[in-house]
Amino acid sequence: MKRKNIHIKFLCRQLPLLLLLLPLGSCFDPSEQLKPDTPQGNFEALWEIIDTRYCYLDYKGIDWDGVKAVYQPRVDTISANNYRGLFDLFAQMLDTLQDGHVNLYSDFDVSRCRGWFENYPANYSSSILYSDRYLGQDYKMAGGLYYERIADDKVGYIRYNSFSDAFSSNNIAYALMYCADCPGLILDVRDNGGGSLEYARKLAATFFAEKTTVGYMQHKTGNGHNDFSEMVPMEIDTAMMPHRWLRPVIVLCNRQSYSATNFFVNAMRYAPYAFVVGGITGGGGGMPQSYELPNGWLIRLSSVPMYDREKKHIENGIEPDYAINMTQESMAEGKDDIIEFAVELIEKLTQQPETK
Amino acid sequence: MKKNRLILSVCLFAAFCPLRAETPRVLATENDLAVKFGGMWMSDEYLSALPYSGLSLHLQNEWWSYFKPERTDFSYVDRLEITGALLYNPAYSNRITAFGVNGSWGAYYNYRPVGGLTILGGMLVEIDWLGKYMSRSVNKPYSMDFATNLHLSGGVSYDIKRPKTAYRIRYMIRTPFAGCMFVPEMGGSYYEMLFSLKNTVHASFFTNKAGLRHELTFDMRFKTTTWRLGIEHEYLQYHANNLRFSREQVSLVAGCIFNTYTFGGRRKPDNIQTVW
Repeated sequence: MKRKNIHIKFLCRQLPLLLLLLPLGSCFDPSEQLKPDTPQGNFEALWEIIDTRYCYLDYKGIDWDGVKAVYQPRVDTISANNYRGLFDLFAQMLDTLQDGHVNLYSDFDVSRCRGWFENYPANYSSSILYSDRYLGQDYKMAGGLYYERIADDKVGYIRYNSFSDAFSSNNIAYALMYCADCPGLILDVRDNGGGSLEYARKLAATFFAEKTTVGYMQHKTGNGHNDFSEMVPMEIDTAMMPHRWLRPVIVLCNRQSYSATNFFVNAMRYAPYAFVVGGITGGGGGMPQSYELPNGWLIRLSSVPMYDREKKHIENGIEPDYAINMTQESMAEGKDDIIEFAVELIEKLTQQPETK
Repeated sequence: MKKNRLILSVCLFAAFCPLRAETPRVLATENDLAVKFGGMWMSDEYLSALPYSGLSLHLQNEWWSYFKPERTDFSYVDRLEITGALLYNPAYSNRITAFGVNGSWGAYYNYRPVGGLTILGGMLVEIDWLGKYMSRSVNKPYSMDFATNLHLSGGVSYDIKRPKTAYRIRYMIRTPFAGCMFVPEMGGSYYEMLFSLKNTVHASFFTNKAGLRHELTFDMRFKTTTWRLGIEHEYLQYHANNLRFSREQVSLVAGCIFNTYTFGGRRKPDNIQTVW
């Protein structure tokens, strides 16, 4: 009985101490760094994310403090319930960045910058492309690649709609084998809005004879506008693809060839037998990343700048080797000027081989 | 000559007889198998500036034993924990799915000032990995906590023995002291990290990594089984590359405890040295 009392006394003395120790570490306040979920709080969060994470503020010469001075007072005119008004105001502010990689995502809308491709020739018509003159309706499909022989079976043609569409090395191999008798190949990435950088590197590797550095990339290392890491080389490694096409290849592009497609076109400029034909690409040289606002909206922005082999920005697009625009007259006749030029170029290159 | 041999034989027999009579004790390993369920709060500035919170489930096993059967003042523990968690941002518009494995090994000095009371002090070496996947993140959907840590650890346990049963109350606490951790650069993508891990591996010390993990458990021994109930709290915060990371969790602990040991022959030995 006496022993039992000793136990009880000991416990009574020690338990409060133990219970006091348990919440000792509860010093974490998850909201201490968080802006409040109010119109001003969300504005502050958005402005700060762009200020610290967007990679082209200085390159584009954007006065981001000035943008804040213009837009922040307007936030106070928006009531807490007017989420559409707030979204539209944020979208207007983001439009000053003029970047197709900048989008604000909410459950009810997605903002996007305007003008970066609307003010350029379309240079692409799917109805003409899929007419019997070119791809027709009986084209072959290998993964995300659509292919056919065109121009009386003299030229191979591969259409790639999106770098988000998967393909394998076997898909490439079968497409190339189908075009094996053709002296040249057209690779059409017009209106290809991008996708995976890995697919871009894999596809480009088919047209290189050896491992080649085609550009560089950096990433933000701090909150300053110019806090970047060292440039990391971006290489096209021929080991990625077992099959080669070391004959003329004409890459078709237009202003809507964007993001990963922009990188692909940049890489193909350094392929030994490749020529770029069409219009200037859309750019999108900054690999996008996303961040969140306190109200749950998602902001996507260019975060990782990419450069060409000469260490110049590719954000504003790649100029083609041959700038060709589609004319209304040709389109009325069902002709695609860019494909027609590419076919002629292949014929010319076949007669007078030319490499870079 | 014969006489000398006889004396020598008697002496050797006398010397080895006590050793033969005392068979060595069998050392048991205490297995603490537990399921932990509770809330988790997480902040990962690489993925998002927002704090995430949700539910977590852990499976944990600890193996406690002494280094030697005759030295009950030094014990060691092996620990393996598997964690799964689903966490949401405050607006419930995005989710982080986390899965992790944590393994550690530690050694403790056991000080017993009065009957039933044991004070433990020691160190733990730990490998901690927690992979995080954010479904809606563009180009950086993955992040991970990956670190090796040396922890300072201690505890108090108190045993209450009754004729037909026994109880144990134990409080264990540990804090990371030094180690090595992986932290991505704020704008770096894992695409780049495939080619270069530059500036992603950092030394950690209590100046840039602070944490506390403590648990209070109550063990009840019945006829053939021992059951555990408890509560555990963990807080961890670290920073590098201009990024802050933190996670906190509170879990209810339920488990069972059993001893395992190996022995030769068919009869169960009667001199087993258990931790509890």
